[in-house]
Amino acid sequence: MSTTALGISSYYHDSAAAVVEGGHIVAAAQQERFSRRRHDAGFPALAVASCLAEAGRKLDDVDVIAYYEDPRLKFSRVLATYLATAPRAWSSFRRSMPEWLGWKLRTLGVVHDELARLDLGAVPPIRRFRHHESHAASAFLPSPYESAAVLCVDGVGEWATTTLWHGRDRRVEPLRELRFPHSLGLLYSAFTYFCGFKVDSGEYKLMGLAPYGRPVYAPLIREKLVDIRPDGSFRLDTGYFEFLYGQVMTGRGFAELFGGPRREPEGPLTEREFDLAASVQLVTEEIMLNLAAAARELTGERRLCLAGGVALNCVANGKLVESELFDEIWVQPAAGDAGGALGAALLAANGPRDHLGSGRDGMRGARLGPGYDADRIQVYLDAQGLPYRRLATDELRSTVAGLLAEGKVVGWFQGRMEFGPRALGGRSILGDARNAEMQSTMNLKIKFRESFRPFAPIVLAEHATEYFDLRQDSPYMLIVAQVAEQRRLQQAGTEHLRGLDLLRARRSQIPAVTHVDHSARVQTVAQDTDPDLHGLLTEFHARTGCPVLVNTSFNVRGEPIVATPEDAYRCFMRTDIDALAIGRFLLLKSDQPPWHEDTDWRGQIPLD
Amino acid sequence: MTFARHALLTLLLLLAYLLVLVLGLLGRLFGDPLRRRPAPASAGYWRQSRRY
Repeated sequence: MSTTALGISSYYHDSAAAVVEGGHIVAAAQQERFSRRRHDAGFPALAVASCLAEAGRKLDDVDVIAYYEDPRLKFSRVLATYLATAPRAWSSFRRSMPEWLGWKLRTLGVVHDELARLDLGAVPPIRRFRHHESHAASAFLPSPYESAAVLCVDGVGEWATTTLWHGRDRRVEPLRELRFPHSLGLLYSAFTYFCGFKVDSGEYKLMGLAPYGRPVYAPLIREKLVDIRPDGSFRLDTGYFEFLYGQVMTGRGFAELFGGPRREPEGPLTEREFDLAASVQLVTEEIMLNLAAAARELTGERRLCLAGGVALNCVANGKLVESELFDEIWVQPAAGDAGGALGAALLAANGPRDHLGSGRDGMRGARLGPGYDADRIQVYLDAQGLPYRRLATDELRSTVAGLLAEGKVVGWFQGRMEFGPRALGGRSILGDARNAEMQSTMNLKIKFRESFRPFAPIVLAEHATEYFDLRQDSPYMLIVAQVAEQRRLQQAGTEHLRGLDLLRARRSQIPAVTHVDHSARVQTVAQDTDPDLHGLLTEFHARTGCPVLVNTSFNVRGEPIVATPEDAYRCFMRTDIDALAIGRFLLLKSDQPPWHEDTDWRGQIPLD
Repeated sequence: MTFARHALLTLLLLLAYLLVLVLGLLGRLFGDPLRRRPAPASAGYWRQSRRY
């Protein structure tokens, strides 16, 4: 009989839950989607309840709770840091020690109590796994490979910051590791902080900023901050960083190195930030390539699995694919700490990897969250008295494709919610990638976010190579590729443009998803993983000759991606989205009653 | 939290930190675990992972 495991990650950031039966992933979701607090770190009570409901289970049916890290081992690292930094870290010590001694040291007991409070049955035994062990399991066990090298890179869990593994059959075998404070994730976060973005959420912005700059600081970073060795290992010079001492990432030494204090959050972006972003991105790619080469040499494998927060750096992932060090790579779509819940559950369930015969991975398109059937959606729409049209599947696709071809922006709420930070066609906002105005329209009027941030394309998998230089499928939008040469445009008089002025050049036939260096964060859409989205793209292709659309997450800046029909309608009405396709129901903005809120909702969502 | 309770907690934390300070300074006499020295040019920084 197969084991049913409930995985939990919590109390750092991106709390999540996952239910695994045998080797089969039944459900997984992040707490933030339900609590509506971005990167929610609290106990994932709502995510647990949702996953159990999706699985049709209660706690009584669960054999084991799997916790994604070892709190006591983590405490040993915290304590060692205080020992090594005394007396400078007094203020951090004063803040964190009551928490550690008060409840964090007995986190597993707290998890037990929280689960008991849900009133969903008796709480089964709790097992804990190591942070990177959970990441490694989440990378390898759902991958489509019989065996593979596994590379996990993040900020820090307990002690490990970078680990190499060999995945075979149902297990991951640890090989090598680097430990705190020598961390690629913390190096990248230090630059994120220094450039005025939020740590643990603004790393994406830094990556998006990199193509606007030149990597002029890369030699300085290699010389002063990080000692990179040919065997793939590296060491930070901790004298330049402040994260050992408390609440900030960088201090005076770092500022002196890079010509002045950090950029204030929301302050103007200058050439220095563009160049810093380009420089740290280049060094990150070099380190990732070295780590991958080490993994190849140690395991002899021809396929690589990736997890850990740094594995969300899809530009570096693209460089890994381009390098041909491995025949193929697979990245866990929830590569950050949320994925730890899934990895821990997979380890605890230790079931057979039945998906291997199918040629697909075990993540089912990462559509592992809650779904809403037509009846539930209709009950909501009718209760609110909202005008809608209920359409047949083909009619819905054809109508939405027509709206997109006219330049309209459409909210696309279909099927189960995605697990992981990317919207992959379950909770997405779609637009026409050929439209040169689409990037600024979506950034400024719909997402209310910074104008420099690029959008990602979705493309019919069977047409992907006509538009992108892509060596393999990218179903989770985690690989950046160049727009194919034949789709690029050379606009005379734009060669001299620098920084944000680069946005003025029309760079390709699909300008809305072509970044200033002609790169694109591609999602390939296959018929068998997402028939709804594939059908829509097919219809749009038939109408326009273009198999590409813009796909961005269904939210506004600072807000978690929408989870429920209510969330979707609220976001639809707060923004300039023209239409909402929610299940088989189509709502047009022009038909809706006026939207009114008593307070300014934008003031209630903290900026990311 | 009452003033007395707050004062007691702060005192306990100060004592704990004093202990950390002493142990930390003593520990540094025997090498600092967080500040590995640069390895020789031919070596790297990998550690062998142990089986969990």
